Amino acid sequence: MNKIKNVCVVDDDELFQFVMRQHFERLELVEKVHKFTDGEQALNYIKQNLNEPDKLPDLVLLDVNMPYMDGWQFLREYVKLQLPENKHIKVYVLTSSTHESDLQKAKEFPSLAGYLVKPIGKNIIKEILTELLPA
Amino acid sequence: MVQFKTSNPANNWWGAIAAAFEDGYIATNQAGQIVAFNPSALEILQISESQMEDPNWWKSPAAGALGRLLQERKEFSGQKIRQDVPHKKDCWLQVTGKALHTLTETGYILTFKDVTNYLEVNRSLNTIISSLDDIILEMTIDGVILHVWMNRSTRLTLPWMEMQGNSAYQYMPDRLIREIQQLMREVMLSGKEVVRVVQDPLARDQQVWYRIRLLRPGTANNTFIVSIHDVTAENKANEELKETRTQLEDSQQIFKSIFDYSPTGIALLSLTGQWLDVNASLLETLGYTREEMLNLTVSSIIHPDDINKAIAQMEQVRNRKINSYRAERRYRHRDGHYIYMFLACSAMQNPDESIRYLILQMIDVTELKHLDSEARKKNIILHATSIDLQQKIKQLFELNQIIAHNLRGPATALISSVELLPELENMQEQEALLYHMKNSANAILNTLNDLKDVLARQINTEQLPFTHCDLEDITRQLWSSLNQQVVEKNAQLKMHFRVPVIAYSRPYLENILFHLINNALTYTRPEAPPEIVVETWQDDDQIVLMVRDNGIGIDLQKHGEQLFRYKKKFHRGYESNGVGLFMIRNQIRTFGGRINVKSEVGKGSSFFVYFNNRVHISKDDE
Repeated sequence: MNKIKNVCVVDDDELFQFVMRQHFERLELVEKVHKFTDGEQALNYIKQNLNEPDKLPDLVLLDVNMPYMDGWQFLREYVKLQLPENKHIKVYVLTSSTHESDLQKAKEFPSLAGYLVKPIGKNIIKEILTELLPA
Repeated sequence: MVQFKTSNPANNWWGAIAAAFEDGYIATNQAGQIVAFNPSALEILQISESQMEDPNWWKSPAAGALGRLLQERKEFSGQKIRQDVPHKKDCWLQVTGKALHTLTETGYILTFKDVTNYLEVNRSLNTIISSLDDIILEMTIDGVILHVWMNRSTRLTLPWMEMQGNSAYQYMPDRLIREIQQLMREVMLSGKEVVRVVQDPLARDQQVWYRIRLLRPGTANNTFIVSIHDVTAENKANEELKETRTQLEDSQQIFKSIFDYSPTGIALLSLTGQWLDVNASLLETLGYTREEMLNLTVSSIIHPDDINKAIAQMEQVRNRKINSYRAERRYRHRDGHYIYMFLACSAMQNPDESIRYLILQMIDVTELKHLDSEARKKNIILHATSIDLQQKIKQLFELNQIIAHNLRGPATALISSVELLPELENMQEQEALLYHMKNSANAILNTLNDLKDVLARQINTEQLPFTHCDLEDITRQLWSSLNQQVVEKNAQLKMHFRVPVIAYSRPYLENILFHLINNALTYTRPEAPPEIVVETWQDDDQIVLMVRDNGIGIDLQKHGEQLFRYKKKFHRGYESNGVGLFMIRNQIRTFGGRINVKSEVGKGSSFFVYFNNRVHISKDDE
C-alpha cells in the first residue's frame, strides 16, 4: 500500500503534537511525521532539504500562534523558496482561531491548500491524507 | 500875531484883510508887482520878505508852479499844484486864483494852502481801501452815487466808476434796492450803523454772500456811506463750522446716548488710572455707586494676577507704542468676588496728539468663561475617554486574539485528546497523553489568570491612585533588586531625568521599569558589558520615559508587530515566558499611554513609554 512519505506538523502545543502523532500512527498512511514547535524550525528543515525531494514534506499542518516565528512569518518565507520541480507541498493552516483577521491573512497566501480550524478529528486527517496518496 | 506887508499904502485894507487869512495870500497890481502878501504865504513857501518882494525871484525857476500861476493871472478854484519848497521833500498846494477889479485897475490874488498832509491822508485812505476787498460808496438818500472807492471785486461786478453821479438803482436788482432802502430807513431811525449779510445781491444765482454796512457820516447831510464786503469765504467757513458743530453735537448726543443706555460698560479713564466717568451699566456690573467708583483707581480693583499685564498695556499706550488694546481681566466686584471682563481700550487724543483720556468698553464674560472652561474640561474628558476607549478596543482585540489562540488552542487539543483516549491501549501512551493534558490544562489556567489580571486592571483603575513617583528613587531600588545580574554582567546604569517626578500609579511604574530594565539586563551581548540608560523628558503634553540598552537588539522587520503580544518569544536560549512586554503595554494603555521601540540587531534597543497626562488630568476632574 502506498504511503505518504513526509508530513510536517508545526505547532508549539505538545498535547496537540502528541494527539496528531497518535492519529498518524493509527492511520498508517504516512511514513514519517516530523514535529516542529515553531515556524523557524520547520523552515530550516525545508531549506536544508531543498535538494533532497524525498525528505521534503508532502503535507504541512501549520499552526499560526507560535514563538520565534509564527505561521504567517513562516508562510512569508516559505513562498520565497525555490522548491525542486515536480515537488508539490500542500500546506494547511491548522489553527484554533476563527478570528476574522486570521481568515483575512490566510487569503494573502493563495498557495495555501486550506484553512482548518481545531479541533480536527481523525476522519478529517484521513481525508486530507487520502487526497494526497499517489494513485 | 497878524502881519502883512504891502508896498502900496493905498492898498492897505487888502493887507488888513489878508492878515486875517490862515491861507497864504499874495496880491499883484495890474503891472504884476507884488502889492500885498501875508505871513502865512511866507511860511508856506519858506521864503523871505525880500524874496517875496523881488520880481526877479518870482520869474526865476525857484518860484515854481506858483510863480507861473502868478504870471498867467488866470481865474481858477481849488487847483492842486506841486510846489518846490526849501527843506520839504514834497509839498502840495491847493490854489485859487481870482482877478480883483477896482475902479482904477485889475489886480490879481492867489490864495493857497498847504494840502500835502491832506493828500497824504487821502493817499493812505486809498491805499487802505485798495487793500480791502471792499467797495465803498457815498450815496445820497435818493440813491445817487457821489463817490466810489474800490479796489477790485471778483464777484460783484458792476460798472462802479461809471456809476458815480448816477442813481445806483438803475444798476441794481429790485431786491437789492429794497434791501438798501430798508437799511437806509433803519439808519435814519436808529442813527447807528446797520449791517446786513445778503446772499447773491445781484441775483445772478451765485453762491456768494456780501456784508453791506450802512452808516451816516454826519447828521448834517443826507448822504450814506455804504461799504460792501465779500464774505463768501467767511460765510462758507461759517456754514461748514455750523455743519461741523451740528455733526459734533450729533456725535456727542450719540455718544451720550450710548454711554447712558449701552448694555456694555463704558468708562473714561485718566492715564494715571483714575476713573473719570463710568456709565450705569458698568456700575451695575461691578456693584459700586458712581461716587465710590470715582474715588477708586482702576488698579485697586484689578485682580492681582492680572495687574502687571494691565499696567504694561497702559504703559504702552502712554508711550504711544499702541493706540488701543483688548484684554480679558478680572475686576473686583463691590462684594469682593471677581468678575471676568472682556475689555477694549482706546486712547482719546487732544488736537496736539497728546492723550486726553482712555475710553474703556467692558463686557462681563464671567458666564462665558465658566461655559468655556466647562466646555474645555468636557473636551479634555472626551478626548481622554476617546483615547481610553481606543486603547480598550485595542486591548479587547488583543484579548480576543489570546482567547482564539492561547485558550481555544489547548482547549481544542484537550477535546481531541478525550476522543483519542479510548483508542490508546498502551499504558505508557495513556500516561503520556494525560501528562500533556495536564500541562495544557495548566496552560489554560495560567492564561486565564493573566487575562483576569488584565481585565481586573481595566475595571479597577480607581484602586490605583496616582502618586508623585520619584524616578531616580524607583530606578535605583529596581537596580539593587537586580544586583545579581548587574554584578554577573558588570552592567552600568546611567540616569538622566529631565522630568524627575511623574504622577502615576507607583506599582505600575515600578513594574514597567522592572520589565524594561530586566529585559535590558537579560538580552545582552557577551562581548559588550551592558550599558543601560534611563531617561525622561517632556514632549509636548506628554512625558516620555526611555530605557535604552546596548544588547542584542530585536529584528523589528520580523518581530515588530508581535513584540508586545501575549506569550511571544523572539530569542532562543533566553529565559522568557513572553508575558512581560504584553503586561506592561497593557498597564501603560490602561492610563491612555503607549509604548514604542527602536532597535537594531547587534546594537541594542530603546523602549519609549509615552505617558498620557491629559488622561490623568481628566481622571482627576471626573
